[in-house]
Amino acid sequence: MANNTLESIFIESNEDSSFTPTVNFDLATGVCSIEGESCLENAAEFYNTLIKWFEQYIKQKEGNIELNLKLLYFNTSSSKCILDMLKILKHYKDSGGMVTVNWYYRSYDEDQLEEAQDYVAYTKLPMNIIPIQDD
Amino acid sequence: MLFEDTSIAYNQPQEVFSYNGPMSHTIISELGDFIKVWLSDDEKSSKKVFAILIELLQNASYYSKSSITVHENQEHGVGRFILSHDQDFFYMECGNLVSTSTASKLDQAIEHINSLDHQALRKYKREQRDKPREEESKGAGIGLIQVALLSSNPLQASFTPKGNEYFFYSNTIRINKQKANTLEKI
Repeated sequence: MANNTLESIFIESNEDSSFTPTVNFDLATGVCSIEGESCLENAAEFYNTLIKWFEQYIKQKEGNIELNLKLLYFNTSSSKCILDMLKILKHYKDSGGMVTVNWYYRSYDEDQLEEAQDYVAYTKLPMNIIPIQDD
Repeated sequence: MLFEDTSIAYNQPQEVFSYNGPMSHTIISELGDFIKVWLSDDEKSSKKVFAILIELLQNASYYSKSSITVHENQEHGVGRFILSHDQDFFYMECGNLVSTSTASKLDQAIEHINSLDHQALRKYKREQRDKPREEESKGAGIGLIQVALLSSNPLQASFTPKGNEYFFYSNTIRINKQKANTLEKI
């Protein structure tokens, strides 16, 4: 069945709008990144693909996962999907999976720092919270 | 839409732009892009104003009781939005038509949000974010909490009756100018 074949995901953000982030999920290495801005009105539709990918990857490959979140901005609709994603990773880590999450934020942006702290406090999944210096 | 002169001559808030119409994906994106250009020399304010604008407009788009079909199968909620500013603040006013029952729910929700301090709001958001989506809602239902967190000021809502079944709900958000703040602290 086609949906049993797991493949890497690459989605390039549309440069004309800040609605969709750039996504790069590498099946071979388990290194996954979501970057840019995420203002999707119906974020669940977009993130369900990513959530299903993690579920299948964990089930079929049982490999390491490194998730790099470099989101400069996301709306609350996306924020809920990110929580769902982190909860899956937390569950995997608790059952023995190797999971690393790196959260990048612009050093002046305290709101995005607090977002990271709130995810850690709520999911209990540790994250490396890394400030990016201004260009 | 773009004013050449953004300097402020008077203490009265100066209007930057106003919009009244369907809150389509394209419109929200255009207005968001405008904020980034307009506030390009103040990244901190730019991010806050942009983030609040998106939440307000997407809320109007989801929940407005009046809607317009722009293209076939594309119905968008109609809302009103006004951006203005003075020396100390940005003001964002967003409004749309709601049913009487929604008006009373919003009124209660806003009163609760305004009663919480920053840390309590963060806690409230963490809890609300994990609740199952309401069936009719595409959003996460935490937009207003997020707006209050980002603006660090109380939400100022008003409800004006429209006939027997509806209210025009309007919310004004005040955002401290980040640059002015920084200067004051030094």
